[in-house]
Amino acid sequence: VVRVKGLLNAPGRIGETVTIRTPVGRLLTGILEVVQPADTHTFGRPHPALVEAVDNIRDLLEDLA
Amino acid sequence: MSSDSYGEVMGRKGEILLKATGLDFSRFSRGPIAFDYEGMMTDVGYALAEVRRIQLDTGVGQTPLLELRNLTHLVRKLGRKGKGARIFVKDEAGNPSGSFKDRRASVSAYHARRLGYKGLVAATSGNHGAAVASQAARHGLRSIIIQEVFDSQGRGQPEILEKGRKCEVLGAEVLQTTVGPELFYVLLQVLEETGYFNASLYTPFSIAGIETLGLEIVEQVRARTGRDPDAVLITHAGGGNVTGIARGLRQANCHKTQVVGVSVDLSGLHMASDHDFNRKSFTTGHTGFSMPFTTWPDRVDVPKNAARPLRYLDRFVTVSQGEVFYVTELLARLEGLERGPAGNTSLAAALVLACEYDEDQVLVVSETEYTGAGKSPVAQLDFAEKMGIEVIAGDPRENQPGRRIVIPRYFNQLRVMNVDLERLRGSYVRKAGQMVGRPFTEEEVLFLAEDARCDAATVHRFTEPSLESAGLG
Repeated sequence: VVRVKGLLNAPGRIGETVTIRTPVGRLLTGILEVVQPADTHTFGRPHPALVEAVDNIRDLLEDLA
Repeated sequence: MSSDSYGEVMGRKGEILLKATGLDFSRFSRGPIAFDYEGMMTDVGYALAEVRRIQLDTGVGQTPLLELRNLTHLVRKLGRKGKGARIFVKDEAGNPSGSFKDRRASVSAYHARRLGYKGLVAATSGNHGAAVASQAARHGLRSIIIQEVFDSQGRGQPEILEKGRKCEVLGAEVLQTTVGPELFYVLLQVLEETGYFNASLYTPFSIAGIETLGLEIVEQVRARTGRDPDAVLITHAGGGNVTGIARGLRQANCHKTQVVGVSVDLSGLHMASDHDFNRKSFTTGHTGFSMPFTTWPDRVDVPKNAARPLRYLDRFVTVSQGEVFYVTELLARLEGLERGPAGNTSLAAALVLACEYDEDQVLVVSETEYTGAGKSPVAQLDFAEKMGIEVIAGDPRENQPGRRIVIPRYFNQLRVMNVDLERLRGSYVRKAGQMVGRPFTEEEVLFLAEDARCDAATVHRFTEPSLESAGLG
């Protein structure tokens, strides 16, 4: 499967075969999966193991001072 | 269309790649394995001074060399008296797209424009995509990036998703594939259809672009310390970084500096496996690339790989995922530098190896990279837990790639594992032997000796049947 983003050449619905124009101007045809797909990757939740390590780093900093 | 079938496109591979790089690799070939490496590298046609000018024109390179005084102090405090080399890092995050990969893309983009190509294509899930998109934009060219992103459930690693976002922001068309052999087929199809230049990571152009990094390291270290670097630590995946920097060091007449490759240990995880694909918290700089690429460099999207790490590596060590995450936090807290995972892989090793060197000696970590959502340790750990990986605080020795990530509790729990380069040399030579399926010719022995950095007798020893059956060498 290859996924690519672009602007619809003509109105279409999810699940339909549509043609899009990509940022470099190519016309590609395929099944419409998502409209206005969001970037969903984040910074994530803090993890206790990392928080503990960072807390110990604070002690190192005091040693350095 | 039958001409687009997998078999037919793959059958036109040689022709497509020749057109897409303008490099006739067959000119350098000396049979099934041997080729004229230095001839190929020279044929790129850009001397180091010219590469430097090309890069200055688009704002690539001349990044600061930062001394990590607090980390050095910490190493000295915890280590043996008189030990603890000064640690420097080349802040490559300062390049236009945020990593040293701009150096690789810069020469490809310049060359492509000069030859009249309208755009660049790169098959990469790494920072190289953003670099190609950025350099294409700066040269007024178009770009298409092909990324391996999804497992069969449609899940993507947060770091790769971030890299895809960055390519899109910089104007690239981004084709995202599922894990598997599809990537290369899509690359060939796109190259054939568009007639764009293949900004491969593995052409002589790409490697020539990195040589300036080695040169700058030497110049800056000499200016700051009055000596040559004693070791340069280089995050090692496909081998281009090691090769380019080492060649740059040599061009700067720096022959005693140890070239140390560093990879994140992901042993046991298979890169082409749908199951394992999303159970690694690093997308590059890991053994899933560095082991196969070191022992067989020519598994790439060009006929002959210009990146040949065995020629240049003096030492090769691995670190664990949890150690790199810990060091990423250390760099932020103690040095005020929030940077991405690639450079911090080498930094983790530098903090251990610095104890082996005297206080007046100098270690250089060759790169930093930008960071942000998707790339930060917390993003990776969050995703790892969703994939069923245990994340705990403890001793990094308990680390199990794909099963358990261990964040060290204390600085003195950091360590490195040495990789036996002799074993990798043997593996490479034996693969070459299997490939030719007959005893090596004299020319092949000489080529392999040079390529694996050993002598002719060692090449012969590696292929002795008694050794093979005993699994030694």
